[in-house]
Amino acid sequence: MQNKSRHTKWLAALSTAVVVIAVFVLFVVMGHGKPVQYKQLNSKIGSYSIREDTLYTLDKNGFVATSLETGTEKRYSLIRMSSTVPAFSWDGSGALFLSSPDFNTIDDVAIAANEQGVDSMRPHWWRYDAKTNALTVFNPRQTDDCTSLTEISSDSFVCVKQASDTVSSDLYLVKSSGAGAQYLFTNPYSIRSVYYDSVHGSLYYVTQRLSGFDSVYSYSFKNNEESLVYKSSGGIDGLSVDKDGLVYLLQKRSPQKQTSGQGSPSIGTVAPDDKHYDGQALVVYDAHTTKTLPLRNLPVRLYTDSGVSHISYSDGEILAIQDSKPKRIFEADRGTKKSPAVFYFSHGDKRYYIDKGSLYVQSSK
Amino acid sequence: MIYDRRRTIMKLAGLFFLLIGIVIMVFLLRNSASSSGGSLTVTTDVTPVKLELGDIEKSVDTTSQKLSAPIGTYKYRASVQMDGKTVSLVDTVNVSKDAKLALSFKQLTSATIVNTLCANLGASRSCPFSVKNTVVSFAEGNTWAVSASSPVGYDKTTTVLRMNGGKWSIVEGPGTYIPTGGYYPRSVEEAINNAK
Repeated sequence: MQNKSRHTKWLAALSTAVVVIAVFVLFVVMGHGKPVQYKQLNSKIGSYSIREDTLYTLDKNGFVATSLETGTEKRYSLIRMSSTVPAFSWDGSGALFLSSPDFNTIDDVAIAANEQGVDSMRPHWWRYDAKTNALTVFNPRQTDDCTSLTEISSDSFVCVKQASDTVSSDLYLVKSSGAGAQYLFTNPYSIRSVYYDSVHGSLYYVTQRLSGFDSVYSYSFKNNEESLVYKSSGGIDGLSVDKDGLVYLLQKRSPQKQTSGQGSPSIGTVAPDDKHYDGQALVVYDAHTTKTLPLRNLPVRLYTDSGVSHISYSDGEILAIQDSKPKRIFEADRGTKKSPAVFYFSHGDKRYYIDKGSLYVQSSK
Repeated sequence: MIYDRRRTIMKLAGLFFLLIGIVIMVFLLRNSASSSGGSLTVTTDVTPVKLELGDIEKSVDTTSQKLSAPIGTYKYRASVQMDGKTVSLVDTVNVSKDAKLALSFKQLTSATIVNTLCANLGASRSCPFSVKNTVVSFAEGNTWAVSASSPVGYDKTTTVLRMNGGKWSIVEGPGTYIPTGGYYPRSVEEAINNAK
């Protein structure tokens, strides 16, 4: 009788434990709350540039500034744009962009090109002055061949040109005043992207070696010296520098499939599936050493907000990197599925995302 | 009797594992041979050549030199010093057990371009072009050339040439004015404008 009672107690305790575990598992699997809600702020985002608390965009009708704080929009004067814009940035006074003409439509850029005596059928770099609404072709004799143009001060820009061997890159300092371009140096490889750290006066750039793998270099304007920061055995898909000068690199496993250890890659692209992101890592460089931290197998980006570098996953998780340690500030978004190209970012304590040409802000936790 | 049978079984088992070991070793050796052990014979008309095969760097000091590199497809850059500047050839090469790579740098000299200009005039005329009065710039990965000549007693002339099947052929000129405006690749047009 006593045995039976003990047996029943044990059974009850076991059942309770099973129920508790089941509830816990359900809680973890299903999540613990309602999906995060978002509010749409802007719906016609083409090229964009985020500066302080404003998102500047260029759409088919010109430039728009959207305040990330209030969501209010300011549209600048109407500029009909049908050209492709491969590069766009906004500085304190206006925009700098590269326009590639649409051969079927005559837009305001093509009209301005004809008025300013440059070939409207060729790509050019343009300056847009937000005060005067003037659209001016930017120093065409010196910038037309620039694959990238990076602002380093209000009147100085670094221009990257492909060298005559089609592999090396020549770098020039171009002045907005129209003065002659100053040759800086030649890097032996093709420069894919450029980043200027205005706090420390250093230029960082990602180059693609003959093997198809990437390297990162820095150039100091103070010492007029170029130095190798990191030689990757894969691709570098993002670069960010924080206020302390720590450099963060987003290293992909490999840009393409390798045929042999050092051989060049076979021609073709890898489909953006989960395996493509397998093995990607965050590389931290502190001027002396590099440290590698693993990342999840998802599309990921780097961005800087208030001098702090952030990791942003395509599922909405955002991590702020402090003292080279990533700390989660937003959990993954369990709402409706977004496209793989979605870009989540934070500003202050709010989370935003840009997907399919629209900007959204988180309206609830 | 039982002892003999056991010994036979043991011997057979030993032979079996030995055979498996040999098969695995042959497989591994073949595999390693196919992923490395490539050979590339480089012939060049100018030495020394700095040859970059992907991330591998080699030096070619004779007109024909055999190099070793892992088997695979490589993007290469071969560079020499010529006419006081660095001249590079960029392409891809398949390194196999017995691959060959022929590098022709002399095609990229001012002398070759001047010879082409002179040959174009025909043998009946004396050639006003010389290396001394001609400046050549190469563009589009050395597949285009623009020459600017200032012969004594003649106006300054420009010629646009293009590499076809390893030889230069004249596309436009020699002429005192070569029109630009989308007819040629951008770097060629820039060279034409600089030559004016």
